[in-house]
Amino acid sequence: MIDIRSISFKIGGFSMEDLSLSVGAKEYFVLVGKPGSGKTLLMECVAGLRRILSGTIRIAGRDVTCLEPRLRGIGYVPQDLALFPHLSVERNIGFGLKAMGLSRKEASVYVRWAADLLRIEHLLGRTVEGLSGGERQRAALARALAPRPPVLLLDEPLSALDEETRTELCAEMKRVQRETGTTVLHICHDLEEMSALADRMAMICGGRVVQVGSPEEISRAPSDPNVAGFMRLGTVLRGEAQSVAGDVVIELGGGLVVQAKGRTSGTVDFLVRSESVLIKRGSVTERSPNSFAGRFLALHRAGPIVLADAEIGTGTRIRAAMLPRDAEPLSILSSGDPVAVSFPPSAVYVFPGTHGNGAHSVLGEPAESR
Amino acid sequence: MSFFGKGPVSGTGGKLFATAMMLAVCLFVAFVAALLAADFWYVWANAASGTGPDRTSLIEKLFEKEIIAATKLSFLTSTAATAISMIFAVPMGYALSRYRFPGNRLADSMVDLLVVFPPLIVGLSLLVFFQTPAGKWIEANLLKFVYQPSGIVICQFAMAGPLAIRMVKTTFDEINPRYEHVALTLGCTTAGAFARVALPMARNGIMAGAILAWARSFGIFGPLMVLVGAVRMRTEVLPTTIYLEQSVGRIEVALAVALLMIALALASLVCLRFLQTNRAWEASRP
Repeated sequence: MIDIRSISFKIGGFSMEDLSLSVGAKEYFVLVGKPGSGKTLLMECVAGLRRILSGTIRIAGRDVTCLEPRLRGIGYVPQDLALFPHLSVERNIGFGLKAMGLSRKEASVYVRWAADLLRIEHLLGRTVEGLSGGERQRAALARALAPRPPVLLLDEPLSALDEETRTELCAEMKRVQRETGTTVLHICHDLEEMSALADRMAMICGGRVVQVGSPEEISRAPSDPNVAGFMRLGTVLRGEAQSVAGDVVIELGGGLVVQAKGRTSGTVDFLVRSESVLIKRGSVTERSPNSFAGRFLALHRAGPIVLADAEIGTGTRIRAAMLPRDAEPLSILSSGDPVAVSFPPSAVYVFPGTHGNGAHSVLGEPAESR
Repeated sequence: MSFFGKGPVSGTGGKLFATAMMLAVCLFVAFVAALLAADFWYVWANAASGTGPDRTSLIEKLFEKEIIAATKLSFLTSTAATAISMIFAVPMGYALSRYRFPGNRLADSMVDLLVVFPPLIVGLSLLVFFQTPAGKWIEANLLKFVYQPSGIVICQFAMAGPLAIRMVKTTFDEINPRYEHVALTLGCTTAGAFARVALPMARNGIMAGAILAWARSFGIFGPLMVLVGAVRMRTEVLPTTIYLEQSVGRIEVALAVALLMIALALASLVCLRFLQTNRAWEASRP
């Protein structure tokens, strides 16, 4: 439905080179990335609000690269929603319909349809001023949907909302997308929001698409440390790898050695998946692979799980994601108390690609994702 | 931060600092109030002591045909100059605010240049311009300006137009272009987005610009003396009346006209403040 081919774009010191991305019909596609990575600029290029230097953008099979925004068949909700303050909610929703030349009576039908879809019929007579954050978001979404565009572009529309409203609206947006069959390109930088919405996602970093796939695929095999960091998959470390008897041994320095599955050599970045790391009170009793004596650092509650941080060697920080009952014994520890840190070789995921000395990497079986 | 107790807790140093700041406020307010009070006092005291015309004859003098003609001409020319100013201010304010083009800063500076120009020099420049071939051609083929009522309008436009442009540009600067971007994606052309979104959102700012331009036009004097002179019943506007009346020693009449102008200026100021208060939402830059 949206086909971006080799586009280049430059503004100030920021540039996007040869970027390609495809979003399927009726797909809820989420674009994630750090602030300043170029997500909004990419969306503005798709909307026709910024001129690209080269490449093509096709929407629903039509080359829209040189078309004005109004001719692209898109609905757009910016981060600040930009509801027109001089118009009522009803006239905001009907704004696009009037621009299309619909009569007041015809427009009214679509306005009612959009308001009903977003459950804001009771707000139609209100002015924008005084609406709550959630109501404003629904009104902006209704305004974008009223002209029935095949593609909806949403630029962090939920970022200013509290968590409860955000969760509620995520479910609403998914429902609306399913009911209308609209293709959605949605920008966010929140993992929970992305997980709730995305059929597929893409990570963008420094104006380049780093990885595309379903959240499950990306969790299973993140392409680089940035992706793993966004997905909060675990601890990213760097070491010198060599293949030994069918496994990989990675030296971290300071006498720390990590074992992993597969074959690789050279300087590698690797991920230790949090869900497979175990931190226990006391000292190391077993001499199994990847068992280390460490120091307890801190516990953080993150929804239904507990994140425990420990340090092994000098300054190597490892994070474990544990169930509250498993983390209970750690709650009495103080920072610096001795702990045993262990994880199986299958919890180690070596990122594809090479570093430093040009060594090659052949991925082992990815560890099971949660 | 408040001077009277609601701000952060402050020590003696903080209180001294705030007092010094407030002293400047008090002195300036007292200065303006003293000027206004002096005008009222002079007219009233002379009327009461019998050294000047009494109140009734003072009001009668305000209705002399010369003063009525000057008042009419002032209103007419100020309104015309304001209309012309706004015809330039709206597109120019929008263009300077939204478009980046070669010479953008130069055009922006030209607006400020006329604001800071001494008024007499504006009049002199206009007079000189109408002595050039281009100016002579305009006078011969289009409209005469030198020593003509239309000259009043062009002087007022030269003085008030830049203020209106500056005000309208600031208003458009305060409106996030994203509103227009959304309008573009909702089916509007660029002109449609301007007409349906930017213009209504800037309405109060544009009206404030018009009031400012009108008040400025109403009060100018310097350039008029150079370009159109002070001919009674022909190129006489209210500031000229004040000049002519005081030059023949009728200070009370000059002051009575001055008070009339002050009242109109204050009314403009009240409208301006009201519109600026209602511009709060325009400044909501997302």
